[in-house]
Amino acid sequence: MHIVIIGNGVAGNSAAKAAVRNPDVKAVLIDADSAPYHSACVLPDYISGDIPEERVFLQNSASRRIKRCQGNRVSALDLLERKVLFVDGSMIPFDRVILATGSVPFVPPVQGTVLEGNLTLKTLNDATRIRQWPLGSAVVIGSGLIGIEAAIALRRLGHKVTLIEAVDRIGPRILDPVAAERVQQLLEAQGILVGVEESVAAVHGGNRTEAVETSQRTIKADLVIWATGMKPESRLARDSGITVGRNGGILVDGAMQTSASGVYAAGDVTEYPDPLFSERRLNLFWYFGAGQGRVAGMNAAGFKSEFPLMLQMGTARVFETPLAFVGYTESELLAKGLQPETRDLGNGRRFFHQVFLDGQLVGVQMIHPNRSEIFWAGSVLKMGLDKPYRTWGVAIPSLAGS
Amino acid sequence: MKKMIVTNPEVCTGCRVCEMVCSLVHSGECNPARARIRIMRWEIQGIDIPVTCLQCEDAPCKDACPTHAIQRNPETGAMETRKELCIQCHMCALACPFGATLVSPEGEVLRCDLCGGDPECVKLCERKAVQYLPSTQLAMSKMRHAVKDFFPDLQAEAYV
Repeated sequence: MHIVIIGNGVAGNSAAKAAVRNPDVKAVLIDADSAPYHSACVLPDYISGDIPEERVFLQNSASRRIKRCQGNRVSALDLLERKVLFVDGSMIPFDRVILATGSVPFVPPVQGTVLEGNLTLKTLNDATRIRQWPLGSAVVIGSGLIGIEAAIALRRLGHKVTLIEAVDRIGPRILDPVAAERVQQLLEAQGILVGVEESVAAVHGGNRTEAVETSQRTIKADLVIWATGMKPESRLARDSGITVGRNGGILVDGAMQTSASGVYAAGDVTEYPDPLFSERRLNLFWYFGAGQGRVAGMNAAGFKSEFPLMLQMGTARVFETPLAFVGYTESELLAKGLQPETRDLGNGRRFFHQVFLDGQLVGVQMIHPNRSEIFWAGSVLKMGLDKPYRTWGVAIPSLAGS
Repeated sequence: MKKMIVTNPEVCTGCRVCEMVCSLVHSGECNPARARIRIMRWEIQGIDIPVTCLQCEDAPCKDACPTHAIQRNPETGAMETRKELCIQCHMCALACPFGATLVSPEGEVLRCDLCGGDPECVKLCERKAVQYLPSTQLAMSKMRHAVKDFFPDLQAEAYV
């Protein structure tokens, strides 16, 4: 059986590795990007110089039944003839195809974003350019996880950094106001200037960027990093009539099967159901890519596997202080018209923000200088959600009678 | 034959010798903060539960690792962290459903590596609350444990 995998990210590589567990499978992994398999999550560490370039690259599966096809762009999928067509006119036949094309940065349509000095942070090439940029004034636009990590990395290199956010607090999708305020204090303590409720009107300059004009002021900028979100690269699916969701991601079921038979999708390019609400969301996280890729590869190869419902979670190091978040934020639940309750524990450098819905813990945000405490955020939440995790190997006594 | 660490909270006395020996063999000091096995104590109920890595089949920690630093040792079956690849993002600690992936005060990831197939905690556990058993024997002991719930007379007999 021929399985063609489009995309050389974590989802594509996990899919290839899982698919060749079936000895009858021959996999072809198509990679339009020229860089070898690498991890986008470690790019901020690479920019700040914490890890050398060679550590950005990851180990490929060594299976001989995975053929790698590099530097060739796919132009279309032919679902009737079961072929993948390339831009240069060549093609490969397939029995099953797995779309793992990932996501691309979204840059809002404002004036001046084409000038030299406007960068995004997604590929290794972007990171190398940011790392080698001469020291000066940098403006990071957007304060999601990527924006925060990019600002920290640039500051550690010695740039003068301004972080701009259009909403009233930093990290609006991952942090509640109380937690965002504390993260902002940590950033400002290290000399990062943070501007909230500030939207970018234009980027000015001659050949290269010189200043960013916002709704409130004009900031000098030699380097502008756009961290204003990502969008799924689902063009191939849309062009072949595969159902794409409201957020632009390919709709998949638990087996990572798309609306077309024999076509699977995994990773950033998909929209997956939310664990608590009847809606789908984009999950641009490494562990979604790794897990969904494996599930897609297994199912494409004829095994049975299902991806569970999972919450968003992530960690970051705000200079020396670890930040972790899991699950929903209070503001997100309020926006849905629900009545969440919150509880804040700790004080000063130690902070633990919990979000409850109907008495059940559904979200945690923590800032804690003692790294040993990080596991609480994840494990406490999972106990609260009472998910049916496999507990083989341990006999848990019943506490019901006590 | 693949073996697994099996814990039996019903006989655990909470002496924490396992924590001590674990930190001693892995980091050279008797410091429970560096132990890869931990005893969870419920003071009021008087229960002690040993908790350690279960070496999951589809391990959430492995999926969460952005540098593929967590790899299964083919001989022992242990999920081992390769220190030279780890960037200490601690996503594995966050992802573990049991909280069994721990982090040392310095940020080093602590996960049971089965001591290369000869766990020290098992050797020192007087009450056999922590055992290292072949997976077939484990299945039998689980069966025995499940069956005895139907026959109250058997409760007195310890399982395993």
